Amino acid sequence: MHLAERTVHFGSVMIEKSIEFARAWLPEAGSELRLAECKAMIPTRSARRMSLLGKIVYWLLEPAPPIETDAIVYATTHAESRALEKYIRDLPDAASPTLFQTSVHPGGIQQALIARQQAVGILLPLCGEAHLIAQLCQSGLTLHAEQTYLVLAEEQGDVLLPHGLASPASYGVVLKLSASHREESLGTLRWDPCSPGAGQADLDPLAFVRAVESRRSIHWDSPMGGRIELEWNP
Amino acid sequence: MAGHIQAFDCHTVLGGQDESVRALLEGKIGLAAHPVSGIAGSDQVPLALRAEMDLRTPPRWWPDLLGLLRGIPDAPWGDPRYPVILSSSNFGIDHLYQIGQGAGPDPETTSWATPQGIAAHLRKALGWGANLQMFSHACVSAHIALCQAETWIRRDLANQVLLVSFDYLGPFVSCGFHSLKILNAGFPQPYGDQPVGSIGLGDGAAWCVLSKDPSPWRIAATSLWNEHFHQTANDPSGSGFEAVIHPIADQLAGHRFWIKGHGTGTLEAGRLESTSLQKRFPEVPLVSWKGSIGHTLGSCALVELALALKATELGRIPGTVGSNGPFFSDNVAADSFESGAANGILLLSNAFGGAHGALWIRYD
Repeated sequence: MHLAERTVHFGSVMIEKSIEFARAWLPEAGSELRLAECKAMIPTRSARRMSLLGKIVYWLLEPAPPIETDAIVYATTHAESRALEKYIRDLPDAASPTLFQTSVHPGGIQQALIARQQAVGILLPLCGEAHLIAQLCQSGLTLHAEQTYLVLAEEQGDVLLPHGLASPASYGVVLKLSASHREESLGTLRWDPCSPGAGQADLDPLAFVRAVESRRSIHWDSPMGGRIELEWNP
Repeated sequence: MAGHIQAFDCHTVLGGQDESVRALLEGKIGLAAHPVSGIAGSDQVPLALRAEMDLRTPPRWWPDLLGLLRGIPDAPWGDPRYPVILSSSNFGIDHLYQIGQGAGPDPETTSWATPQGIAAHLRKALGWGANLQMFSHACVSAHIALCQAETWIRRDLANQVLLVSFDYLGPFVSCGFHSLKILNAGFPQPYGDQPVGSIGLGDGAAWCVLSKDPSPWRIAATSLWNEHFHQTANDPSGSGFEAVIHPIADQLAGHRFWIKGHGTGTLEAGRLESTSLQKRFPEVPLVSWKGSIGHTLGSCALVELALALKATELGRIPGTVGSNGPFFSDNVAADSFESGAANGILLLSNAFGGAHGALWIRYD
């Protein structure tokens, strides 16, 4: 059943999709191993031009990569911090074309998909900070697509970090959502615009990543009204 | 239920939207030679600036943008049923550049260096609530925002949606495009079959309000496509230009319309765009205005939408200003033309990564 068939109007039916695949990149131990896996899986020619963020996204998508008809919502607050740091250091006299291209949002997801030569129809790249996870989830839930990927990623910054302009850690997560209900699904992502608030006004992105990794159910408020629920099947 | 455009406005180097359209109809070129880094002595490139590209705090564009946004109709913007969507390719990136040059760290400087910082300044200045989200997808940023807004209206997830898009130039962006060699000493001639391709960059800002209430203009269809062939080059087969039109082609059939293309002045993309459109819509005129107002980057879809709607009000559509031909294809309209019996506009945008956006606007 297509999403449009079971979600008719705001206020009458909640919006939900099944979670078919989930993977997280946590900032703790193991990142070196994952980077080694990246080195093995990404073609060398592509890897040379990829940022850490791009590699994280590539790794997240590797077991269940998108196809042409899938939609992707991508969210990052600090984006290509390392490329930005290097690019602005060399301005204005020695601007690097490679770093300029890399630093442009949404470079991380584009690098991962260019390495795969994977076209997609819909790519919605969110930026910002407040309510970013709610926006990621709502955008994915309301898209008219049979399968939708939610991708969140950050790479650890360096010289911009003391200014609060880069992420203190590298992490990421992907959720592959299906508009059809399947018995074997991992869980459900749901937005009920008419439900009372959950009492949690915003959700920290890293808390969201950890909830996915540990398969912990959570709920929080939406700035568009109601609450968003991430639930996992037993 | 389609997203109806209730109100809109923009400004460019040529002035407000009415002034801009009239200047385009007169064939005026807004681009002028400026130092690429804003520092005298650096290479001269075509830029369409609303004020000198100096670096200051608050940024030089802040009062200019606020002046435009003061005209937005009153509504509880940022409340749950009244979302605000901001889009830009670079937001406050030049304050990031200043920090890289050794400025700060102080909270005032850093507050202008990120999209979230800019959003906070706008919310405070304009009294918007927390229901604000931001898209950044290089030069299709505003196009993405329009698609999202249309989805929310169509699915009755919002009463009204406010879209705001802006991109003002600074050394980060101008030096970046200069390093790619496409921002050079030449002035852009969109769709022109020239020996060397050139783009010009421009300041631009725009807003529009979408709702389900009937209005003369409605978003009848949207389409997106992302090639992911190369970071800065299109698939040479032109497949992306075809793929973005394909899902909406049936809806265009039987209508009289004109096309506002992306047309920056680069050679390969210009050839692929104009020839693919000529093949599919041989009788439909194609125009680009970036040879005058410059490429307003992430804001271009909303800026040029406002100009297109204003042109339909005036009954005359500006031609491909700044481009004299020969052209890659015969569908390119060099000169202005009467909108006549047209009842639709196809607006197209492209961006890095082979991103494409198509917007089909119907009007009565």
